Amino acid sequence: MQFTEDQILALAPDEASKKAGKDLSTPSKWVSKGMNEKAIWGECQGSGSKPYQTQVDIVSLAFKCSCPSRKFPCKHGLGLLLFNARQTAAFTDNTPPTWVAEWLAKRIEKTEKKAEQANKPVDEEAQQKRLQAREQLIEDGISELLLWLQDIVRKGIIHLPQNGSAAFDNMAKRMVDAKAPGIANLVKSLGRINFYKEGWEGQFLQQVTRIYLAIAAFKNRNEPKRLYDADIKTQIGFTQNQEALKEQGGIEDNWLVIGKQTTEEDNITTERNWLYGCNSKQYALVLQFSVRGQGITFTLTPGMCIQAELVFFPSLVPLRAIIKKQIASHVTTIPEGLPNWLAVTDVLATQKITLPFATISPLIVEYLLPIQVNNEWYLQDAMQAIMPIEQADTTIWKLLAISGGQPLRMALLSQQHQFLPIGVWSNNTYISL
Amino acid sequence: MNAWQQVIQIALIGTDKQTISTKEMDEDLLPAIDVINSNTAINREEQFLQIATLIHQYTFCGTEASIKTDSSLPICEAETQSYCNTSATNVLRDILYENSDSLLKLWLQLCTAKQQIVVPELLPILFDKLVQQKELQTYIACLGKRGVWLSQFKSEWNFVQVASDEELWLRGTTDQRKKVLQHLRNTNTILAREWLQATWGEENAATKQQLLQALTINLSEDDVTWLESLTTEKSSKVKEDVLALLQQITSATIVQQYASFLQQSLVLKKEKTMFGLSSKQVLQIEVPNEVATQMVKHGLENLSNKKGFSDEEWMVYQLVEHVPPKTLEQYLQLSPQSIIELLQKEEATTKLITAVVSATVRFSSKEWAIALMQFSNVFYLDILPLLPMQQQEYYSKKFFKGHEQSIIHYASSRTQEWSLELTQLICNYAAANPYNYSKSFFNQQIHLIPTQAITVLNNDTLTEGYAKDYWTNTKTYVEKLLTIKQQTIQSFQ
Repeated sequence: MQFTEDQILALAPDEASKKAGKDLSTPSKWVSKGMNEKAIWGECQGSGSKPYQTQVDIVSLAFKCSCPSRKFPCKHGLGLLLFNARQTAAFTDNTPPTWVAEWLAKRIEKTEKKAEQANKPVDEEAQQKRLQAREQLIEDGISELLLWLQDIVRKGIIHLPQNGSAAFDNMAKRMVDAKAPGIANLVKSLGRINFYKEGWEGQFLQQVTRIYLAIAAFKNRNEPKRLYDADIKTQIGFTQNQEALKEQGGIEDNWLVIGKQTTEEDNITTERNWLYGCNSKQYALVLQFSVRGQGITFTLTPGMCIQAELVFFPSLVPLRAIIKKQIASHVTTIPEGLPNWLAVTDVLATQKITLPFATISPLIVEYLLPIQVNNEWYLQDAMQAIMPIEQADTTIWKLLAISGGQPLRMALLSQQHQFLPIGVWSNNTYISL
Repeated sequence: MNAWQQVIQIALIGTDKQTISTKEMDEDLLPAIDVINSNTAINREEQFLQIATLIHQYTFCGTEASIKTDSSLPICEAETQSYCNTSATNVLRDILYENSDSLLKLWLQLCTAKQQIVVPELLPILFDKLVQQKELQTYIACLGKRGVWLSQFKSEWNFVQVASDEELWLRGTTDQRKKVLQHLRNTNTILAREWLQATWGEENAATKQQLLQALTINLSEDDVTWLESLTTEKSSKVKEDVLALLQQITSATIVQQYASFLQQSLVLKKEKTMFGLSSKQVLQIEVPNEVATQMVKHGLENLSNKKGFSDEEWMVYQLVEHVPPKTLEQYLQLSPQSIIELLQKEEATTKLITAVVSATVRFSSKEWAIALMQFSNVFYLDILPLLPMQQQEYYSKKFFKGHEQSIIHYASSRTQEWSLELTQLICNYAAANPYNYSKSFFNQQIHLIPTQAITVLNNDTLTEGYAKDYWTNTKTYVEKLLTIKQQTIQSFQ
């Protein structure tokens, strides 16, 4: 596999590594070098007496280097790949030295073991027992949570602002213990509500009803008219085996990245990538997690269009997906959005009716104009109907600057009828907000 | 009150105190609420939670956008200038990310020179930057018509709605008026003075002091008549400022007076040497009593409070300081070189050299600046700005060793880029003193560092340790800024 310089640099954990990698991409730094169809290797003269042995598995991209750096990939790995990308002809040796051959052999052995493990017959009885034990734990946990919620509504929520977030955090921890991390997150978010902002009561109560809905859905999971199992499990926090998911067929399309949100909590960076399938007209949310800059598999940038196969997590309203296969990057096309707010509210109502858990939805809407009413910003459609913009100072000014008083085709995230613009099309170009 | 509002109301005070009433509920909801209320398997609180969930879902699904016909947004006029290219836009993003005001200024200068404008999406971030850095507000032309349009929506950004210079002069704040006057002094010296003359009578003392500062720009003989008429001002502080200005103009009466005092007090004499076989010229200090008395009346001191100076020496020192060095040439009939050499001959007159330096700076005498640099035994940093750029570079390099900090300090105030050799000297010194010359220093001076300097940043003379690591970090940072600088220049070529 031949990588471009941009692709190689995108692998760097930080700016310093990019720079150092570039510095090492010259022939003078490498004592020996070679490549074959499986790997690229080289010995780089560093500050130590012995040169560092650097090797890259180019089939399933992996790095190994004898340098002491804790960065991954290290500057030597990046430098070697860059050197190879710039001067492939200089890599004449195609017989791997022992240290490369051994590493590759170990990797093959490891993959085989993994496959062996995957092919091992599953002890269904034991799996069922584990599931029952977990369900019992969850059952106990959510019963406790229900009592706690009942206490809150009995006493009234008016005093909550004075109490701080400790009570919510404690209950969230209890839900983690009860193996219901999805519920734990919902409870935790109750404590993150800004109790000093006007309208907190409504926001709090909306979240409470969402939690109650998840509790009720789980309690009634064995009822005949139940909701879709997968959606209930997602709400509770059951994880989905992504390897198994990848085995299923997905949707191949030109996926336009319409937004990217990055948050960090407990040293884990979460990347929320919002995608739109240009042919399938399907929206997708691709989550990627990284710890200390490692773990991001796909480099996605708003405005970029990728030809890829996406597999959706099972749901009545499929949204979350994984990239099964990325084929190539393409020139972006301009999608056609919903014509007005009436169409938007229809779509959102249908989603809610289908799946009452649905909270956040990406949408593309035509002809929206930012306007100010009583010092609040709204988006006005062609029919002069308005919907509020979610408060985000930097977004509104950027949006206004691009608009110049003219309506725009906009990509939005809708949450409880508050709309956050995430990108606009201006002069046929997608601009991320 | 709608159903959801009622739910919130009850949630606030608690189900202990109030229960949901179905009186004002939508009819469609009633059967479902009846089912919930008649479910005896659950308690009152859970019934409330169920009803709240039901109403929330129901309300959400029925939400419609409201119609607003009386609000609209004015449409921005079409731009007449072209947007800067993609490469310039990308480099501007990098500059804003690096938070380099120095590079931002360079970018804006180049953009203005090319009569181009910034792409709309970068306007808000640029506006915020210009709010912080008022000096950069000179380049508002880069914001285009979109910038002017956008500024009406945020009060902090309305500096773009520029009033004319005349309007600002008549109605602006003291600071704005001072800026207008300074600008005008650079372009039309006489008009600037006339504007100030016209409003002078209406200004208070503090404002007068502020506005007088603008006159230091292009101060000339033309200003003498008006400034001398101000010597009778009521405010002593204004008078002092006026006097300070007059003391910088050769043709001012006060300077002429000082020149006359000096002519009487510092005289050229011939002294016999070698038992009368030969003679030499010396400058002799002899202050007549009358001059000593008059000096006080003209704002100078006749008693020394400076260590190592007699009263006479101190009086002459002050006079030399306040008289253009050219005057010395004229009445002594000697060249600057001869005068400097004569002054350096005797201990008493050597002390006057620093006064000559002060006078050179005060009267911006370029000729004397060059002479002092050539013939004086000492390096005077103050006169460096008066030298032609080539000589500034030469002397900065020549005297760098021993004057590192002051030369770097002066070099930082220059407007022209440093030479590669001077940059190398500065970088070597910074590498040896990395804590004094950190990233922030280089960030501020990056406009002065030539882009070719990437090659001179490597300094391997440093020993291992924290200092080396620190400098290595700084060096990497400077390299990055230089790359951005190079890209900035290239993107506007």
